[in-house]
Amino acid sequence: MRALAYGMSSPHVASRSPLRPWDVAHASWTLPLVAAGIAASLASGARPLGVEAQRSVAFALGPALLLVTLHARTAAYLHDEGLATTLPLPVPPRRRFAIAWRSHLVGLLWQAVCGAVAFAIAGSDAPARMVLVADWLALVLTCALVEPAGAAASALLGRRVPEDSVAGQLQRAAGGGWTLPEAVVHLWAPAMALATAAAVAMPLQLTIDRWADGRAPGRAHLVACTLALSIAAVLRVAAVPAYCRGMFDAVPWLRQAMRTLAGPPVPSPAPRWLAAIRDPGLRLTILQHQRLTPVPTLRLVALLGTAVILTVRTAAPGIAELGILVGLVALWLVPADALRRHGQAQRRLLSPLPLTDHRARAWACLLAPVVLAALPVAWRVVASRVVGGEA
Amino acid sequence: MSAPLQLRGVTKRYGARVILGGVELDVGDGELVVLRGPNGTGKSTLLGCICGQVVPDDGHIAIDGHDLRADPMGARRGLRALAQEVEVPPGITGREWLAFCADVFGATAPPPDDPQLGEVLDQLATTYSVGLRRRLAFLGLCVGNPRLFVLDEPFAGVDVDGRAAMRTRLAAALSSGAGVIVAAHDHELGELDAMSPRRVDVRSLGRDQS
Repeated sequence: MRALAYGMSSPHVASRSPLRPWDVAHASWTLPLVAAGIAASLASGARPLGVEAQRSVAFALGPALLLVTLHARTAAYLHDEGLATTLPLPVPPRRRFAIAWRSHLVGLLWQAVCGAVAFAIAGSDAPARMVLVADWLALVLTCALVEPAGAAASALLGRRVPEDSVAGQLQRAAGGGWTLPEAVVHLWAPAMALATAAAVAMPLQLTIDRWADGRAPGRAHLVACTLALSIAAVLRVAAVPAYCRGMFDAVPWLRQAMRTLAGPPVPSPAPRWLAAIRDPGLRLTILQHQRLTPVPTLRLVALLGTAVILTVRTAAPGIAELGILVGLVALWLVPADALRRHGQAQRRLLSPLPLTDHRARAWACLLAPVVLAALPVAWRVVASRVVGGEA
Repeated sequence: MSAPLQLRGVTKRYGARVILGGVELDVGDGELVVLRGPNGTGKSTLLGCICGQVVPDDGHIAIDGHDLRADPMGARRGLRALAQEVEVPPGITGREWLAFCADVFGATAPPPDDPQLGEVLDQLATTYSVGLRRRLAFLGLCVGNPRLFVLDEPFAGVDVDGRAAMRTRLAAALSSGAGVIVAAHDHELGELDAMSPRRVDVRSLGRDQS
C-alpha cells in the first residue's frame, strides 16, 4: 500500500478505509435481537410437543431469522451510499467485494450470536440445546458461503442485457413492469440465495440430528454433507468474478431504480393530530420522526401491546419475552438517531427563529411510550419475584 | 495517446423523458470544455454518465481510450470526478482521505498548498465547511496522472483563496495534457475565462424533444 504519505502507517488506513460501508444499518443490530426474542418464544412454546417437533420449529425459524436481516447485512455489496459515491474511483471490484464481505460477516456473526442464544434458551435440556444451536450454526455457515452468490447474481443480472436474451426476458417477466428491468434481480436474488443456503444446510442438520440421537451418520449422509459443502464453496468462489463483472453497471442501475421508483417523492400527509401541538419546533421534530421512521404506528402499537400482554398474562415474563420487549424499545428509539445526527445542523437552521428550545420536550415525547411500556412490565417481574420468594 | 474523453451517441432516458439524445463530444488534450445550460437540461446526467454513476441507454464513452463499460478500471484510472455535492466518508480525517486517494491512484499525496486546509487536515472531514470539503476533494483528485477532470460546479461555496488554489492546479493539469469538462453556471464562468475554455451548451449536444 502506498498510503505512507504524511508518515501514516498502512494498517491505520486499512482499519479506517473510506471504502468501508458508510451507512451503518441500525436494523442489522436491532432486528436480530427482536427476531431472536420472537424465535426463542416460539421455539420454547414447542417444548411440550417433544424434541422432534421443537427441532422442526427451529428448522423453520432459522431461515426466517436470517431473512429478517438479510438486506441489512448484505447492503454493503451493492446498496451502500459510499459505494455509489466512490464509484468513479479506480478501486478494483475485488477489493470492494472483500470489504463488503467483511461487513456481511460482521452482521452474520451478530445474527449467529443472537440466534444461538435464542435456541439455547428454547431447548428443554442441555443436549436439546446443543442440537438446536448446532443446527442453527450449520445454517449460518452455509449462509456465509452462499449469500455472497446472491449479491453476485444481483450484480451480474442487474446490468442492461439484450432484450431478446434469456436474462433480458427474465428481467422483464420477474419485474411485473413496476420497476426497472435492471433492478428486478434485487427483489429475488438475495432471498433465493438464502433459500439455497437453507437447502444446502439440510444434509448437515440431518447428520447432526442423527448423531445427537445416537445413530451414526451413514455413508450417504457423509456424501450428502460433502456435496452440500462443496456446492456452497463453489458458489462462494464463483461469487467473486461474477460480482466483479457486474458491479460497475449494477450499482448505477440500482441507484436509478431507487431514486426514481422507490416510493413517491411526495410523502404521505402529516397526521392530523400533529396540528394539536402548539410549539412549531416540537411539531416539526415530531413530523420528522414520523417521516423518518418506517411504520411508526405499528412500532408504537407493537411496543405498548406487547407490554400490556406481558403485564396481564398469568405467567411472569421470562428472558425471551423481556428480550422481545427490549428489541421493540430499540425499534422505537433507533430511528430517532437520524434526527440526533442531523441535530446540530437543524439547530443552526432554527436558531435565528423565534422558537423556544424544544429538545427536552421532543425527547420526552419519544421516551414516554418506553416508560409506559417498561414500568408495568418491570412491576410484573418484581411482583412475581416477591410472590415467588414468599411462596 | 488517446483523447481524454470521447462520447459517441450517448443517450439517456428516464421513463419516456429523453434527457440526452445521442450526445457526441470530444475533449482533447489540454482542453477545457465548459458545459452550460439551465437547470434540468442534463448537465449532471451527462457528467454522471462520464463518471460511471449513470449508465446510458445507448452510446459509448471512452476515457483516455478505455471504454467505460468494457474496461471500467482502465477508464477510471485516468478519471478524476468532483461531484456537485461533495460527500466525504464518516470517521475519516482530511489527511486520511488524501492518503486514501494516493493509494487508489497509485501515487504520493500532494502536500496541501492551501494553508487553511492544512490547518484542519487532522480533523474529521465531515466537520469541514462545504468549501473546505470541496477543496479537500479536489486536492485528492490531483494525485497521480489524471487524464480527465469531470467537475460539477467546482467553485460553489469555495472562497477566493480556495478558488485561486483550485485554478492553479487546474491550469497545471491542463498544461500537462489532461482534459477538463466542467458544468458551470454563468456566474462561475469568470473563474475559468483565463484558461480559454470551449463553451458548449448542453442543449446543443443532441436532445430528442419527444
